[in-house]
Amino acid sequence: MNKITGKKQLMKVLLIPILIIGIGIVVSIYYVKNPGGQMAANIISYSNIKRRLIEHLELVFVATFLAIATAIPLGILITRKRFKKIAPIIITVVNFGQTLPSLAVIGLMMGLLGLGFKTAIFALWIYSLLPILRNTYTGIRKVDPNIIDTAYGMGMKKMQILWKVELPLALYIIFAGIRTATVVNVGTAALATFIGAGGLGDFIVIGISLMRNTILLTGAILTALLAVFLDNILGNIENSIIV
Amino acid sequence: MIKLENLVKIYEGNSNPAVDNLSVEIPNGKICILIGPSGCGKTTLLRMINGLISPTGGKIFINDNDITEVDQVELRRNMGYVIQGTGLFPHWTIAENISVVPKLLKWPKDKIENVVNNMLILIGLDPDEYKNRYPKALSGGQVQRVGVARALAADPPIMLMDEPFGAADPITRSKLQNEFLYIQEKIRKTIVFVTHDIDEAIKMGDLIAILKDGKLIQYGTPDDILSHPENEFVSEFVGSDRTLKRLGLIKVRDVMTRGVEIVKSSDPIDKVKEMIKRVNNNFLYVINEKMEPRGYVLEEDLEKGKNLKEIIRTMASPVNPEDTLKTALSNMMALGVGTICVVNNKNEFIGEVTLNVLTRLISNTDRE
Ligand SMILES: Nc1ncnc2c1ncn2[C@@H]1O[C@H](COP(=O)(O)OP(=O)(O)OP(=O)(O)O)[C@@H](O)[C@H]1O
Ligand SMILES: [Mg+2]
Repeated sequence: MNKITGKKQLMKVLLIPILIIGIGIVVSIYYVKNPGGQMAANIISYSNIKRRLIEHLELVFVATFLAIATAIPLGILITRKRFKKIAPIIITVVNFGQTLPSLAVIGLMMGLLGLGFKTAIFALWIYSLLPILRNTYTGIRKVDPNIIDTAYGMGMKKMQILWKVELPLALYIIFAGIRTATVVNVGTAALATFIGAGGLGDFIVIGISLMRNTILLTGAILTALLAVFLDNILGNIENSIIV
Repeated sequence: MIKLENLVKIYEGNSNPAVDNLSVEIPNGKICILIGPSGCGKTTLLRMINGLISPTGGKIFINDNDITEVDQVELRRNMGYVIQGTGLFPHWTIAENISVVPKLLKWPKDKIENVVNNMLILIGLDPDEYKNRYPKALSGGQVQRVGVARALAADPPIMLMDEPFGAADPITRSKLQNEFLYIQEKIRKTIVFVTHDIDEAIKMGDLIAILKDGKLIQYGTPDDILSHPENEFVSEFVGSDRTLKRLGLIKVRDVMTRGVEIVKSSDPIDKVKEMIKRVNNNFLYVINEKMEPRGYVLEEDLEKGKNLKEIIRTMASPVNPEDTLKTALSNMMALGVGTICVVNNKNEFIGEVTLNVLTRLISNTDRE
């Protein structure tokens, strides 16, 4: 009985991601078969799609990972008593970073760090800090002070309270921040092509400059599908977090 | 023993102290109730005893040790704290919630498992059914019981309880109180118990501390406080029905009359007439062969029937020696009679309580 409902649950969860992968494959096959001219056919090939997709995923995952690794500790730090006063300042600074147009940030980084993968990662990292930082901060701040009191009252130590009470209770909100950051990064990574870091943005930019819609659409549709796919998967994980 | 000495707490930015020069001694094994209007400093007091906040002035001793001189974490692990509101960890199961302190104390796994089961049984929840539930899936009353179980789990000598039964409806509340008193009978902890409810205070307390604006107004046994309220505030607080409440503190066994003359339902009327004259009373209790009271006969009825069975009248339902006078009075009132008989646990007649005795008790209180 339990097994069957478990299977059903899994099917329900996997249905949309599988559907999205299916659409992605169909779209790829369609444009490879109907590239609209020899020049476009050279560009829209299976190997090229695979390569750009992997580049794109690399950009997104490395940048998001670095953002998680920095924003969560920073977010935790500014919820501590000692840093209470500077928390709003830090949030504002990071907030400001995100209000800059993504293309401007990428351009700025190129000026500072030159072309290439590392520069793109750096720009994406800055860009995805805020959602994670903000959610870590509010997630921990939102934990019921009564519960924290109880934890102290029962003789838990500060670190124990952080690891066993505050973070688990804030996890849901922190994870929502990670999800936002990831999805934002999928879109922003499409701009990495301007500084020679590859990704699905390549198709878009080449499509525009060659005035070939097939190339442009291959890049645009796959980027959009990737964003929806990751959003759905992460959303499902988020919903399985207890509390 | 918990000793509070000239305790003062002024919160930063407040002009009035939340706790104002308060001194109290709580003997080991007793339940001390802190009661007073909202904002009078009850929670503040508990938090100071627990070391969560430090006093602005004064000292707290536990078994003659100044609590500022012992390890805070150690101090807290030796104190069960039932916090105001629920305070259960929502991301942990009931079992995990109950085992927090035992885990902090690094008890072995099987001992912890045992404690969880025992605690759940103690608070009347089936371990198999409730162990793995999350707090969300419990009723308000069950959550409060788990809160108490969690505080008790590591068997701390001291319990701090901040309105532990506040969320329960009156019936559940009274059940929880009875269960807790029953548990306390066995475990004999030193308990500081906060409540808003004077009836709860009278029922649960060995000692009651009445607070107002952070000051101790009166400290004494429930009977002290009901019979000798220190001032206007206290008598208003305990209510105008304090004399009636006092009846709730006195046991039937303390005032009952033993060796009352009785007749058997099989006795002939003539014998009854003779006895009624001899005892100089206008009625007699009637018992059956098994010594169980069946009712009473009035002198004026004796001419109206041929045997006792025809003229016997319904009596108020009997009380036990362990019942309170409040129960006795309410049983008498239910039937509009001035006397009630007392039976032992085999339902055998052992004595009576009369309205006269009760009125004398009440008027004593009022004169004082
Ligand atoms: N952290 C705090 N900072 C400033 N003032 C506080 C703080 N906590 C409590 N107070 C004030 O101290 C006084 C006593 O509060 P406390 O919480 O001890 O009252 P209480 O008797 O527990 O009330 P209740 O019955 O409503 O729970 C109140 O006037 C309250 O406003
Ligand atoms: Mg309170």
